[in-house]
Amino acid sequence: MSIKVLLVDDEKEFTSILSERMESRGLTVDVANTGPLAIKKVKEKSYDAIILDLAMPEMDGIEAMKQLLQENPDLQVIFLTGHATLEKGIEAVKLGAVEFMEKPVDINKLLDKVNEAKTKKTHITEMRTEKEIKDILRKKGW
Amino acid sequence: MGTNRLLHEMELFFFGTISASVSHELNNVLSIINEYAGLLDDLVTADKKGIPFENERIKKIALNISEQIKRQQDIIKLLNRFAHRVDKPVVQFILNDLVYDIIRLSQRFASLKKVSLEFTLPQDPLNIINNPFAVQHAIFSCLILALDFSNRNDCITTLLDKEEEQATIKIICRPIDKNDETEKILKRISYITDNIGGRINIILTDDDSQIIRLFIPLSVPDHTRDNIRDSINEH
Repeated sequence: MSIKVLLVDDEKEFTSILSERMESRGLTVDVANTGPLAIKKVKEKSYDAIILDLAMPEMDGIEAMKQLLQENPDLQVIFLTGHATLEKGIEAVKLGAVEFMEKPVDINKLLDKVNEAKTKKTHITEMRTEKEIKDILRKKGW
Repeated sequence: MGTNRLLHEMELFFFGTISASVSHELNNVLSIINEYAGLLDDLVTADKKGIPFENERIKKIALNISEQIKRQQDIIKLLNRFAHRVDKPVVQFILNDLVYDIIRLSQRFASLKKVSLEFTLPQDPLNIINNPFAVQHAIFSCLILALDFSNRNDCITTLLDKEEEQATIKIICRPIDKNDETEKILKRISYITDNIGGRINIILTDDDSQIIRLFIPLSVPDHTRDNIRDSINEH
């Protein structure tokens, strides 16, 4: 099954080309050009990784990530921004981002991070499923 | 803190704010060009694997790259004009151009709030003799103040005009809350305008909008010139 990615950035030309390049490498990519639209998409569909810009109209990337993680705490958020400062990077990671990358980006490095995010998400999901099964078995006294 | 020291710190902050914003915008353009370069590489790789590329597609990509380079050149020219306004403390310049540039430099801040910036400039060039860096600082500070109180989809309009021996810059926006913070900001803007022989005031209009008015003398008085030079020499 292909990796599902949500690309969130207000630069439409950028998202258009990057999504095409990622899709040509076998990923399934959805695009949202605002934070609120990203939240709407996450409510409708499951993603292995969210690639998120920091400075966007309406809602900045940090606020968008907070709301996305409220919606689904298992989401793996990778920041991809031209606003990369050490302080912002630390803040993003403290709040739950798995990676903080600077634009312009090498697509292979970005895809490495997306793959890592997918592996991590799969692991979290498996652990959760295992725990749920154990809880059910315990309740039933098995 | 002395007024000159405060002014100097405000100017430094203004310079940093604009530089950070412009560098972000330039980086966005570079990122797009980087993706186009990657896309061309992808097409060549696919071609080697037997999936031929279409000439029209390559032409379109080349055209898009040219447009991004033009966008980048415009941003760099804007930044260059902005930066050179510190070259001389008092100089003759066309205020229309300066107002246009500072509105363009403020555009990114407005876009992040989903606010549009409109302007009307007189057809005839309005030549003034003053401190161009301080004038753009004063206008930018007023625009940012107006933006702070704007809502999504608002429009802030800037009008430039000449009244007797002074230029007037009117910024029409949503009313600004009167509180300690805004009083402090207005006081700081008045430090900038005082230093160039100008002034600022705010009036309410009949339709509940507010007009921030900046008055800039067409020719800065001699004693103010000395003050400008003194404050620059101090730093």
